[in-house]
Amino acid sequence: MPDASIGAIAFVTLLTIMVGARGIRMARTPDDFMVAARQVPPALNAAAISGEYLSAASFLGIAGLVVSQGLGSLWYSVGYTAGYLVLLLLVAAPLRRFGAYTIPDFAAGRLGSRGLRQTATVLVLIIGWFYLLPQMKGAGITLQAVLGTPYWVGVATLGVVVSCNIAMGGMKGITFVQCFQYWLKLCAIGIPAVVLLLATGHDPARNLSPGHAPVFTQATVVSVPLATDFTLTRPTAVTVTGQLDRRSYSGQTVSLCACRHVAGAGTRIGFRADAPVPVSLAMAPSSAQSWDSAFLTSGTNGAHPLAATYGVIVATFFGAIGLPHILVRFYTNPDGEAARRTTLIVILLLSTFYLFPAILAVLARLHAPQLYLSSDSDSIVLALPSLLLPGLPGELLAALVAAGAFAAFLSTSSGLLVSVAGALSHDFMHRGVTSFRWCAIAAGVVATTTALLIDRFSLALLVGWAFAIAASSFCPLMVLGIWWRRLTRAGAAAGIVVGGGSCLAAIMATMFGAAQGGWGAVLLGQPAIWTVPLAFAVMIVVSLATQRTVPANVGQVMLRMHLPEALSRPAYRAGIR
Amino acid sequence: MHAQLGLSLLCLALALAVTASFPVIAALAPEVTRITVAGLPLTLIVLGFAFYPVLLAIGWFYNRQARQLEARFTELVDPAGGAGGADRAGQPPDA
Repeated sequence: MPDASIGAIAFVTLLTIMVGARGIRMARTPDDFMVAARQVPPALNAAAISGEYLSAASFLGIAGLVVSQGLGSLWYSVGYTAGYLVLLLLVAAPLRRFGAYTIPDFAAGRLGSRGLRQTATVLVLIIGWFYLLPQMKGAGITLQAVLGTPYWVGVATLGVVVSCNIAMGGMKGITFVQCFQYWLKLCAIGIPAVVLLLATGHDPARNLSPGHAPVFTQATVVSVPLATDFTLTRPTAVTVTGQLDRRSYSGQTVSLCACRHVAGAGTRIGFRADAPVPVSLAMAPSSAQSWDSAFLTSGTNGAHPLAATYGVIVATFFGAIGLPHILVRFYTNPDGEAARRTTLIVILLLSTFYLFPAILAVLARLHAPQLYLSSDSDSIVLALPSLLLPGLPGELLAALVAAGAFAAFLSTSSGLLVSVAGALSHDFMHRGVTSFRWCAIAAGVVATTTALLIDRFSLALLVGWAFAIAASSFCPLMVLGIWWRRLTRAGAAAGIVVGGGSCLAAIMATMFGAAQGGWGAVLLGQPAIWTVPLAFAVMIVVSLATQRTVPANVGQVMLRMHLPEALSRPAYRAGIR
Repeated sequence: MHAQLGLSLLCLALALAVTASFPVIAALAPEVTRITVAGLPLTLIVLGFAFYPVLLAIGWFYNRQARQLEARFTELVDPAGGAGGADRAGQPPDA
């Protein structure tokens, strides 16, 4: 398995660099270099947006979380898609007509304030950094699962490849790369899902029936690669070779109680058909609710599942609007109407992609219950093909999945790094391509270093948090900025700082283990449910209190955003002549 | 602009009504989530597959309506459809 997978990962990385290099030659002016000239047709642009958007969380995180925590985790994939519908409804066309490149550009252009611009830039850096972490973690565990290298090797590899590629290529290369990466990712998750579904067939689905703890459908020998703690839900007899509960066995039958056990590295445990499935600490559900429950409990230790679910719904539905690396892509549409068409195609492409993580998770639950002994829920998708399909076909599928996963980390972290480096160099350094390059490398180094510390958090949870911060800061800025004439500088700045700040503080508190249960765990673990309304409220109240400072050109700016092209074009041309 | 905002909010309300009502339904009537269709739990069918066509349909409907609104507004402001937009650009775009 390692050989095919190494080859596939190396191939994807090289191809990415080469396609990017082709873009460099096509980039001519500095404007081309930063944002691809605005001539990208909707279908290509939509694939590029989707390619950039589908990150480690979508590729590995969601399926892993569904297997370990239950079907409610599918809210993440629904939310990541619905985020684009909200974006289409509220900002796509006006934002394109406004014609700024980044969120700080929008803030400065709409409200004309340098201080507000810098506040927005700081938020871009925070969101970008939060979103880069899970990509790095994904690369770490993928190389760990495929090659057996230590966690930091994968993290460092991704950091170096992406930083160097961006420092050399800029945005034009990225558009081609991202488009190619969408189709690669779709194939890399779709082909294994369909092949494994056909290979395993659809049986009466006993591990899917409601309220049922998973059991082995046939006698299975499980090998434990690393020392693992696990629990059993009822007593069972197993055959053991190796270390179990600090005793050595060589093929004896052992009766295990329904309690916690420790298996040593390299131990092989034989379970009978109908035996209960052992569950490792990393895979243990955070609440007692059944696997098929419609609620999501990650990040909150299982407290108040309904509120936690709405926390994720609010964060993901409204977070896509505020993602710094996604909005940049809307300026590559020729006009507002094209921006709308592009967004609709994006929803179609994302919907298609998100069918497959659900299928893979169900297959894992049904046919590979030994995955409940995994040391990290995020590595399940990588391990699944060779468990379900032994021999060469399984190895090839595993290689394909590994390549797709790496494509996911490459594309998302490239897009993020371009935004972060662009914001850094534009607002805090002197502008220019050289400064942009150094900022890309610096941002890559910071993200790589911090990613070494966060390997215990699930990918989907980390990305969900990036969405929560975006939803509590930039979403109100964009929505009110586009639709509400009375927004003021002070109001916008206060909303961004209070909303984004409180959301960030809540997430940090959760990361350091501040609240272990009850309402505290929900409000800190999935803060969007209160920080998004808070940000909107602060922005509106402070704006109403500072009405005298409404920008004088608000009518003109509003007109530019909302006037259909059929009317604005002749005006524009007349102005040029 | 008011008409556009109204359309956007209508579509947003529609999307939220369809998707965000599911957790409430599941909380009030837990037996709903125990329904299985062809051996698959209802939660899987709804969250894994059924919501996506709904989101797409709302997006498609919005795009069509938004285009028509803009066409009607263009017709209203500039019936000749020529290059006369410049002198009218100062009018508020309230279609």
